Amino acid sequence: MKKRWLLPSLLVGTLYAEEFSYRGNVGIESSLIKHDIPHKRDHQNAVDLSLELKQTVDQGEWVFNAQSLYDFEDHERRYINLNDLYYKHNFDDADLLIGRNTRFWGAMEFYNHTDNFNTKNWLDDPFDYDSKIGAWNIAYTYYFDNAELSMITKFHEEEQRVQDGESVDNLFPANYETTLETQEGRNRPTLYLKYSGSGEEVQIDYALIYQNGYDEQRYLAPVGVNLRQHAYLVNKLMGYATLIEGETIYKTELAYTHSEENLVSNYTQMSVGLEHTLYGIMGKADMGLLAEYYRYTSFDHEKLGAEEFGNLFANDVALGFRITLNDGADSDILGGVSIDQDNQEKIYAIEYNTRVDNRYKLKLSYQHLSPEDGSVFQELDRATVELGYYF
Amino acid sequence: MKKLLIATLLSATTLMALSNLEIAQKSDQVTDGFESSIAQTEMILINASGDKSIRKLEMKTLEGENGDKTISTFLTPADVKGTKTLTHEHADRDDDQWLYLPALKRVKRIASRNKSGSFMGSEFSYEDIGNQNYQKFTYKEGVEEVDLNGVACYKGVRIPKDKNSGYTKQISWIAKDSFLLQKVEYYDRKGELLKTATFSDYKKIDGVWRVGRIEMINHQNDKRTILIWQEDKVHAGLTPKAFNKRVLKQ
Repeated sequence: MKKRWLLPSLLVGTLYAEEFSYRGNVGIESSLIKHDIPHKRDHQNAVDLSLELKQTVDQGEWVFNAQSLYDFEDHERRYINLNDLYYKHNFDDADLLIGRNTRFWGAMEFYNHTDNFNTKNWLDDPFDYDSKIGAWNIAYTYYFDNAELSMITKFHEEEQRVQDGESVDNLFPANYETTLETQEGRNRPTLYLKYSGSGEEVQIDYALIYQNGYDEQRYLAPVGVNLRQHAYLVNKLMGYATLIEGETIYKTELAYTHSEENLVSNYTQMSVGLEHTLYGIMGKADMGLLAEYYRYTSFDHEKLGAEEFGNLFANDVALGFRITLNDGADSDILGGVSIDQDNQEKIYAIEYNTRVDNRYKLKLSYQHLSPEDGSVFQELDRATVELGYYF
Repeated sequence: MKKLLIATLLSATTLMALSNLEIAQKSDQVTDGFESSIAQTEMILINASGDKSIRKLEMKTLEGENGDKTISTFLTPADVKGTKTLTHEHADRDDDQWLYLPALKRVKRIASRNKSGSFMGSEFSYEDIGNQNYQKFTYKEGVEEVDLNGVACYKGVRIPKDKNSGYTKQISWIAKDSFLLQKVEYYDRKGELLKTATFSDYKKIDGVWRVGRIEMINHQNDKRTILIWQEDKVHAGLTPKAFNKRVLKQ
């Protein structure tokens, strides 16, 4: 074989060595929004596509995952996000990941203080904290019998684009500019050391994380006539745990952040919660009841804190339920309310999910925002229909 | 001499008569010893109107002295493709159970005490799907010898030991010649007949009897679920590492 064909042949041979899989969906979403906010739309319509490709090879896997969205009116909501593009090599007791990906850290259901590896995708639903932007990183994880130790280096900070000025979901000031300012450059690495494990006799899962680098939250400060996000350096210690006792799940997340930026106060974040499931209500249906509390405490009130960062979970209680109907269509109903303990501002939400004709998922949701003085929100009601074809 | 013969015959009959527990033990033995298995299964959910929904699963199991370890991967429907559940059974305490949601990349520990919940929306509960080790039951005295669709069977009553079981009793039919389970009736907490499972299409794979089809009929809601093993490999060479939480994200 000529040399020039050797490398491509090897690559192709590697790619097709084992199993190829894909999954994704294409869908439409349409919202009607009732509000009295001037110059804001009362509707939002978009199509979206998400696609994940996975190729397992001899001792590893290649993963590609992209999400794209096309809004019929909001030009800012027309994007393709590359969430995952990585190769993970599996050793006997370890793996090495190189590339771009998203991760989930945390225990709570409504919001996770400790889920701060990726930045939020503000072009999506502002209350969907699972909508994130992938991050470039290298991660080495060593596995013990009931635990794992990860060393992760994130080496690029992502910018956050926002919806256009006519969208009710744009919570940023009108002069916000996407360009990200950083304390020591966008490619300054952020290091994470994570140890997580499971109890052997007690049903507990736990994790401890040390972070040195850029914080996930960013403050806004003027650069010329515009406001830009500023990423600042921190030393952070985080932990979370889930404990099961009978049919009740107890959860907690804790974090202490030491800011290396003079403008930003050191702070702690804490959340506790529980989830109890009732089985066999109304026939086969199960109902989970959730209650969670969140607290963000700044140490220096002269410096930037939860309010300036627009953190919605500074002193909040969230109550919710999940009814799993256990039918052939895997239907469920989720509902909840988040109540700000400082000013009694409330966000109500309810959604119904079901499968139609084995390939389609239908989601109907309703959201009501009931703001109080000083809120970043205005009162609004939103009804949304989402229909997706899955493959 | 006649008396001696009758006495000997009676004694032999008594010795040969198996108790309910012994039958269950033998039934367990004929399906034990697979060490580890990899199975591709299809689950057909049929509602009272006859509408069907189909889901496919890959199930990997590792036999263990203190309880099996199982990892189930959803292959269809497409919206749940890649969702996994990992279960570590324990004879002396609640099972450990985790759920992996691929869209969120989240591994979530889930409660496992309640065994009566529906498995994937089907008429099978978690305790129906889990290991059916004979030690999980106590057995009532008295075994009937009956005919079930032309198969001579032992019919006996067993009571789940787990106080969180959804059943007060189960009546089982076990084939006399092969000791393979043929049918089970499940009685709910009120003592009423809830479901009937029919086991069929047994195959002997590498010396181990494996069921090929289970049909579960719910008499209280007229729904039924058929579970079919499309591929089944025993002595699959799986090690405990294949049932570590690590594999959920792979």
